[in-house]
Amino acid sequence: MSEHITEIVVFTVLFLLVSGMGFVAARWRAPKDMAHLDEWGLGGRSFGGWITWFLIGGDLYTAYTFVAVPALIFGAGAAGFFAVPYTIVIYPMFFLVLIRLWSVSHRHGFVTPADFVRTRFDSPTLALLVAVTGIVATMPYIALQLVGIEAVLKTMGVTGDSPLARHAPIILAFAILAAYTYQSGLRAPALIAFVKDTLIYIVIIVAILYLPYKLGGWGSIFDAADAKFQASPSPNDGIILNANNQLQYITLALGSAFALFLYPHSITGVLASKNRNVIKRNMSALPAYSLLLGLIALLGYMAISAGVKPLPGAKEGTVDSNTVVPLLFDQQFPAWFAGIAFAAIGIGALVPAAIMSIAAANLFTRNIYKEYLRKDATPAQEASVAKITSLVVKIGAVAFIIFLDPQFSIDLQLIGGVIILQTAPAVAIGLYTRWLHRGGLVAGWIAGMSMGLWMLYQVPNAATGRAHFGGSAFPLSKFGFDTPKTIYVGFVAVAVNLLVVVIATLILRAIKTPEGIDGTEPDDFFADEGDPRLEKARTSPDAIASST
Amino acid sequence: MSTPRSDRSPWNWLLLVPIVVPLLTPLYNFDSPRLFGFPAFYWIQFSFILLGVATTSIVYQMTRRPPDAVPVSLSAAPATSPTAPASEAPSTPPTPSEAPSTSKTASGSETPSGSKPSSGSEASDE
Repeated sequence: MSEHITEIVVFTVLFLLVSGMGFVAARWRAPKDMAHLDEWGLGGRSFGGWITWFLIGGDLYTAYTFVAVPALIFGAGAAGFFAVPYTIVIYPMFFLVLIRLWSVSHRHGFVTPADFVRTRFDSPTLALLVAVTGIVATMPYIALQLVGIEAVLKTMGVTGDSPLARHAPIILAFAILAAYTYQSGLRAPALIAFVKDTLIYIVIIVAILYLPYKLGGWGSIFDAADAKFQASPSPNDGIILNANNQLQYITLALGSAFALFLYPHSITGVLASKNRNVIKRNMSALPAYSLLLGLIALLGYMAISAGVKPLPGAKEGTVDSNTVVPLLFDQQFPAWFAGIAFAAIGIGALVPAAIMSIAAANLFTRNIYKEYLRKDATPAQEASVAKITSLVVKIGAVAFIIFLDPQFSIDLQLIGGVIILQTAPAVAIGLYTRWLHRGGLVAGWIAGMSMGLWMLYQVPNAATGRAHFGGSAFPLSKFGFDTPKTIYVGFVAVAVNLLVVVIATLILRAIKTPEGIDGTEPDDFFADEGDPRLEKARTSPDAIASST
Repeated sequence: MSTPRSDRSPWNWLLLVPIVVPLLTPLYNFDSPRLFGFPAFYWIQFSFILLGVATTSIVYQMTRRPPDAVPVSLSAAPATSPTAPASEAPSTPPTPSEAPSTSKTASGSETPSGSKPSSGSEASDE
């Protein structure tokens, strides 16, 4: 531990600095009255271009980016690079689809995607399913952020051996995070995102200029990786794809992109922006983060070239590949710079973790508490319930990490991706058409969910010897095809979901089952800032905000 | 008043390009030619990022609403409002929360409005 003292000091100082910012954020762009869900949960729906860029960037590119993607590249090579096409295809989709969700939400004061589903399809049941799916999918995603912090702490040697000592620093970090999220709501991650992203850009620019120079150039980095994969017995690694994993690569990139824009935290980030043009402009500016992500991914190859050996995992005989990037920085850079890099990862985990817990809290408050427990809740009650829920969600995420093997954080998140995809017909297609029947959507959700979970159960993981839930690459041979190819589980599950939705809709329409009343109008999907028809509920208490 | 009938535009079809092209693995699943030591698999996919930026930028520029459909005001400083054309003021009384907070320039340039923690960018000059 003593040889890491400089790193620990730098990390701690930066961590405390942003924690302070998190508390101060409550007064940043402050409304007269924070006791409204629009303020706590959506930052007053007032963020302009720059804040939105930092917020969504800090939201979508998480500690998962820093730790798990390079770890995947380190272990499997090109297959891990799916993160790049994934984050390219997402922005045109946001541009086309989420902009409509922003408009209809702005017009009706929706805070969550389930709010939209509730009004569009006149079905509290469907809204409940969407909300529960969102909450359940978000939990492992928050846990994944903890894994990012944990990888750093482990490298600095500040984690003990007993289960409690191993997790004590994380519990402390999350307690601080929980406190300032409780107080400041979405303003806290929005403000911290400035620091987080600045640190990350600095760290990565330095790393990609300095490390190739030190390791003999990009050519020899890729050659070293190639040599490692040639020597390994696994058939599916290598610095380019082979005939069997291309379908997986494509469907995983596309499926992950669909999933990302259905995740409650992405939608929260988008709904917090103040008008349509802010969102559209950001779809051109956010790919800067994709470039960053691609370069970060390649740190995995640099770790191979530098001969990094990952630290042992939680169980005997396993390795924690999430530690390769922290170890790379620890070995190749002076201690003070490694400390900055570690802080960037640690803070990088805080921003999305805060937004995700806020998004989950919004879902619970709007679609469970207000819908089922207390229909006449005032905006102030909504805000206070959401604040408490955000605490509960964080405790749940910590429990995930303490009681589950964190080694497969990326697969945990992929399972979350599979289930959140099942809300696509209601949320995404619902933005375009009301033709789908609410009963059909419920049936499709059940079918897609069952299919997805069954397929995930069937996937073994050779690396750990687990027979079930070993990943999201489903072997097509299990469907009876004579091929070693694999496909992304979520892709198949959502296809089944859609098929059932369409068939059930045709049946329900044929027997004239009531379809409910659509609470939206076609015009709502193009509404912009300044729309005079905003509902009363939307006019928040900061109506005449003070600039002091 | 500021709601157009639709956001349909033939330019939107251009957005299919950055959705489809990055998913066509036969286009880039090669080691050579290398560029600055990067195998083709990597530098070609990096170049798709530029493709994505270019297409979304073009579509944004081509589908922007004419200025009279956009609530116009100014960038950062709310106190100096002489540039806001009076004709842009909504004819219906705006809801209080909306009127002061519009801080987008019509030029569509990336404005730093509201990004500075110091200047409470919520205008108070009703």
